[in-house]
Amino acid sequence: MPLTVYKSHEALRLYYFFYTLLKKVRTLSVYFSLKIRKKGIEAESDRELVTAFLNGEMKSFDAIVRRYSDMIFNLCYNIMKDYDEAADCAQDVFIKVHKNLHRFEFRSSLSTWLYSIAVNTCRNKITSSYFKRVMPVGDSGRIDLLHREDDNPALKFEKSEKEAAVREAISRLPEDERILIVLRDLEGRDYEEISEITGVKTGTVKSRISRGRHRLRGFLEGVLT
Amino acid sequence: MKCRDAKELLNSYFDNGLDPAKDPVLMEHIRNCPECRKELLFLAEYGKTIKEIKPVKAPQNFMAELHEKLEAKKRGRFNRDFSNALEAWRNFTFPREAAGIIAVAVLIFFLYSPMFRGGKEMKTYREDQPVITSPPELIIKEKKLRPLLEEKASEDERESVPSVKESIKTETRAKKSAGRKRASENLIMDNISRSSGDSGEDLSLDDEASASIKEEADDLNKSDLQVKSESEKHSGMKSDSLKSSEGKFKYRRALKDREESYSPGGLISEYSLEVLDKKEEGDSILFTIKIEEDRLEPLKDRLKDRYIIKSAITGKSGATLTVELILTEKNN
Repeated sequence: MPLTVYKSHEALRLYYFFYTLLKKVRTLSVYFSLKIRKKGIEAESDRELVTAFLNGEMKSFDAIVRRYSDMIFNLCYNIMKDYDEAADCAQDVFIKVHKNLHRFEFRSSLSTWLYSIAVNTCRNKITSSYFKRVMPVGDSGRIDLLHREDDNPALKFEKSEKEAAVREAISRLPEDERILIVLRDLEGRDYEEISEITGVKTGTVKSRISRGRHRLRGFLEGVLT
Repeated sequence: MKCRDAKELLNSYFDNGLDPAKDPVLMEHIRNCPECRKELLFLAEYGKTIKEIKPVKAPQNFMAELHEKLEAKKRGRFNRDFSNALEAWRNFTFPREAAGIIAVAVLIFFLYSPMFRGGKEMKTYREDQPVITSPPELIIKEKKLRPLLEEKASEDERESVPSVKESIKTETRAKKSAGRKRASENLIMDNISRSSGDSGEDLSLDDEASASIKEEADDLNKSDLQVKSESEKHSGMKSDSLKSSEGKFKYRRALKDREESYSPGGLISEYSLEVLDKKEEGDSILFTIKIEEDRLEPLKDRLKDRYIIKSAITGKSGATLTVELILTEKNN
């Protein structure tokens, strides 16, 4: 009996030794790979960052966030037209990314994937009862240029009155048209990418965008023309 | 060109950043169509304003907040729920109205509960009727007796239900013995009829028959005894249940004593007589005994019922007599 106990103990010790050794080797290799990199983490491609993140490097995720946070936040802000809600939404987007990045298979670019996540998140938030209660939409009618709220933190970004009017008009569009208009006119994505992001056919995207612009003309009559 | 085509073209020109003025067909339609002209003007202005709109930057603490949220997610649902519950517990304040209502309810309950309990007693109790209470001694006695009584009852139950096998055995044996008894009775009857029919000749036969009857009777007794002994065994299995079978023994002993009291041997032992000689000749028995004068007659009286007595006084020494008794059993 004591012999076997001794043996098992020895085996455990051996196993633990090799386990710690492997761990140390791995950390060392990561350390050196980080040191050897000449370009720096910010200059790495999306693919490299994603693979690094999937191998357990949290810094690469931070790099992804740094690279795309402005873009995603801007999209959210354009769709939601509320600063805090947009921040919340963008954070939700990155939480989802953190959770599901292993599912990303590089069939499209990372930005397109992020856009699609953001659009879906925003859509969910808009259709939620809470958001409908807080931000009533569908208020049709002409936009008054003098209408302003001084305590709105978003106002410092809207330099011209025309810009504010356009944002206001876009925020009054119906949900699907609004998202497409934002993606096309404010984000500057082409139709193929938009259809990839939203999952809507290119022809439908085109017709919806033209319809949305026509509606915008109705909202902005007297302001732009 | 129709307005729909013109709008489509305008939109595509706008999207691609081209100047629609270079398309003469479109321009001709626009010159004629005020709606399309408005569209063109709007799109031009809209394009300008859109270019002016600069992208909004994410808030400064975006990264920190994101990390916080991720950490919170990592901590797990249980911790989150637990912290929420803790917070709710801290924020919980017991409403005073509820406390008051509960207090009143408790007060009412304790005030009225004795009344509810005493209801029945108050109905039955009357002042003119004497209240009978059992004295404490009696109660104690009862208490003491009760377990004993219960024990006895349980014993009786046990006796009354013997095991099935044994009961079957005894039954079969009893049946057998009953059958034999009947057979022996028939035999006796036959013998009697024969003896009454032809006298003298069949004496030997009679003797055999009587012998056989005796044997059978012995067998019967034995079998009875066996049954009895088995039943006794059965009862003896439980040491406590012997008490009840004592009665049977007593009864049997009493019967024996009675028989003995009529038998000469029994009487002799009863009278503590000195037996000098004893002879048996067929039915009759010859006793030679010493007895006091005054006790002889009662002895004779006792034996009169069963025996034909012939007595002869052979000697006398003081008050004691030496008597020869010839006792012949009476045949009914």
